[in-house]
Amino acid sequence: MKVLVVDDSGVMRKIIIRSLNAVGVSDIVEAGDGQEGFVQFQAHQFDLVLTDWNMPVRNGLEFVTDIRKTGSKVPIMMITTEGQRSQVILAIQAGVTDYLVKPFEKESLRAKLDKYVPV
Amino acid sequence: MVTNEDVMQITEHVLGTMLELGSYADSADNLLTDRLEAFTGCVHISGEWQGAVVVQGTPELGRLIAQRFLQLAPGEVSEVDVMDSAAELTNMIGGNIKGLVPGPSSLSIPSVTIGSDFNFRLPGTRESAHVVANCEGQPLRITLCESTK
Repeated sequence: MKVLVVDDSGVMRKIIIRSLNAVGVSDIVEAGDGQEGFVQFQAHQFDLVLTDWNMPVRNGLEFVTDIRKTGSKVPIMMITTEGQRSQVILAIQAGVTDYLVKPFEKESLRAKLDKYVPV
Repeated sequence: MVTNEDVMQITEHVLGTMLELGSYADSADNLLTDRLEAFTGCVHISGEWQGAVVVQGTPELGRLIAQRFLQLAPGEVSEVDVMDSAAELTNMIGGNIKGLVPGPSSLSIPSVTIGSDFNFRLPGTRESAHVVANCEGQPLRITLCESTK
């Protein structure tokens, strides 16, 4: 299983990658913003994309829109501080399949990841 | 209107959930300004509501936050680790405060400074909330500044 992690915060990328490793995922590509993420998305075949919303250059919502424009149905989980209902609806409309609001307990992220990681 | 209680609740939630650190509101603001390695994080909110969230903590707390975020041993924490962790902490507290102010609005990328030999000012703002959390015996100061324009 190959996973793309897009977040401008190196701290958050490490936290997410730690959780991915804990559920047995080690084939991970990192990107620091939505533009870099889309370059990586086009260069590889991913089974899951995890992305932040607030990022420089190209934000998470624009990144998700770019992915969906390609016709890809890859599961996309947004991990963000944007917890308002209106924002969640915007993300779903853009094509996000799962959503996790920061701060979160590590068990919450692992439970979400379990849904996408084959046993 | 965002109250001191709102800011404290968010701070406790972020520290407790992400870092498993207990905290409580402290009446004494004993964050020493002459601490050479104190951190100051700032994130701006723009849109229907305009302002900024400033998060300041002692060097000891900065290192503890980095240890918890990155799961490092005390001796392994670098200044960059502290700055990145303080930025993420500021982003989380600021992002959750943004959820309480009138929208739509957007959150800036956080900035962080370490040191004490500087003056920090956000022109055209007034302080609208201010709390000091005691976290593991260390002060963490959170200030919400609202635009006066």
